[in-house]
Amino acid sequence: MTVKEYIESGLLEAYAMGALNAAECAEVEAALEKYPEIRAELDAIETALGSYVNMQAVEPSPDIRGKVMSLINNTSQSERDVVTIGRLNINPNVAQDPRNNIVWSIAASILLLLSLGINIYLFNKTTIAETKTNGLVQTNHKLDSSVKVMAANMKQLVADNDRFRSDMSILMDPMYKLVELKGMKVSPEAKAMVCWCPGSKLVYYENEKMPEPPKGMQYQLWAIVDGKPVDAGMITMGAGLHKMKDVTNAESFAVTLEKEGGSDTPHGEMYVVGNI
Amino acid sequence: MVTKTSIPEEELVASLKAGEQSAMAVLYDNYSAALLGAIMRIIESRENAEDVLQEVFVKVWKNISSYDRSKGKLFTWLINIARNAAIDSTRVKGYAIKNQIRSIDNSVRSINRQHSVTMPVDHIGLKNIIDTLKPDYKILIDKLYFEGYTQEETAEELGIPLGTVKTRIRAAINQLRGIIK
Repeated sequence: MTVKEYIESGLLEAYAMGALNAAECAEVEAALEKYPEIRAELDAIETALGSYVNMQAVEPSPDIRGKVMSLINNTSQSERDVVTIGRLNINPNVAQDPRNNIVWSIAASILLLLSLGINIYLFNKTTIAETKTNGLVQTNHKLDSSVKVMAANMKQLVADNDRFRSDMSILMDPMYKLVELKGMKVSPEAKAMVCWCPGSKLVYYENEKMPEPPKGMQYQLWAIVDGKPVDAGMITMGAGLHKMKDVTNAESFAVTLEKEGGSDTPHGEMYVVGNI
Repeated sequence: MVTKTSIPEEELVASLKAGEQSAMAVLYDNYSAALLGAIMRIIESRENAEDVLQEVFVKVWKNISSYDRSKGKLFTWLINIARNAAIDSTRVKGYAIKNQIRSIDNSVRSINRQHSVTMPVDHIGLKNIIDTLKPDYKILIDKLYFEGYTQEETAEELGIPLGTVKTRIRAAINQLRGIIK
């Protein structure tokens, strides 16, 4: 799309009206960064919408302003919390009260006695502890490598979680049509799913229960348009949603087993198919 | 957006981000009427709408750090928060809490349709300006912008193809821009 076509597409208007999904918004925001003309156009659209809302403004009752301001007064922004804690520590009234000096003296004496007691106790313990240290160093090495394994697992979990969240956002998005693909004769148990957004043409594919393809072979997704298969991309076997090629139009989706890298037209057996 | 107190938007945002309560007062004076008007397109009761308006300003205060000018004007951000808060509040009221988010959306909207929210217009002159907007365009802007419909839902509701909704959006805002000039 050229900048002019982009401006005339209606996408910016829909963006300003909050009518786009997250993926489309991200697309518009990227275009805004890149092209000052697109930004200027969005500004003009927002100004027009702003005036439209203003024409329909309703003045709130006079007491609402005070209510809002006292709510704000009682609600801290995250960085204001830090400031408040800082102020509590330097409250001058506490230091000026002479009674506080006595309280502090007693408290300090108790702490000193406690500290002496602990020191004697710890000194005795040290000798025993030293003999144990060697054993601990070895255990520590073991733990160290365990921690490394756990950190790696954790990283994997975080990545899985991110992927899961983005998958969920597609699955919950009403713009997407969810198409269930069911097994054919060659593999009646096979199952897969396609999420297709006709508006943005985006297609995501998920293996739900597909047999592992033989070596040198790969599954290929097809969009069926007017009875003819159109290549929608090669399938990798991992879990989760996989982004496929854009599809403008489709009556159904099907998966066939093809040689690695795919074919222009389907040659292999059809494993799953589903109508929209 | 006509600002009543003339302070540049960037300065206002900077003061808000710095946690200045006085900036909130300016924000309230400039935007409360517009936001209440938008909220009342979804919630008819003025009392309930004013409760939501208060919520909106608290949300703005708490989340101003996440406002990013590169993604749009302050006003667009504010109206998004107001619209979402208004729609949320109709959900919380338990108009229809079903298993699926989609069905909640639809029921909330059908309730809106049944009670067909009256358009609050304070000045006769302004109402005339709005009336010069083509009715097909006006309903499109209202559904998408005020009532938070998706383009698909708008197409279904108005019984027109999705492609028509998309091209009509541009035409609608263009006419609006022409009128406002």
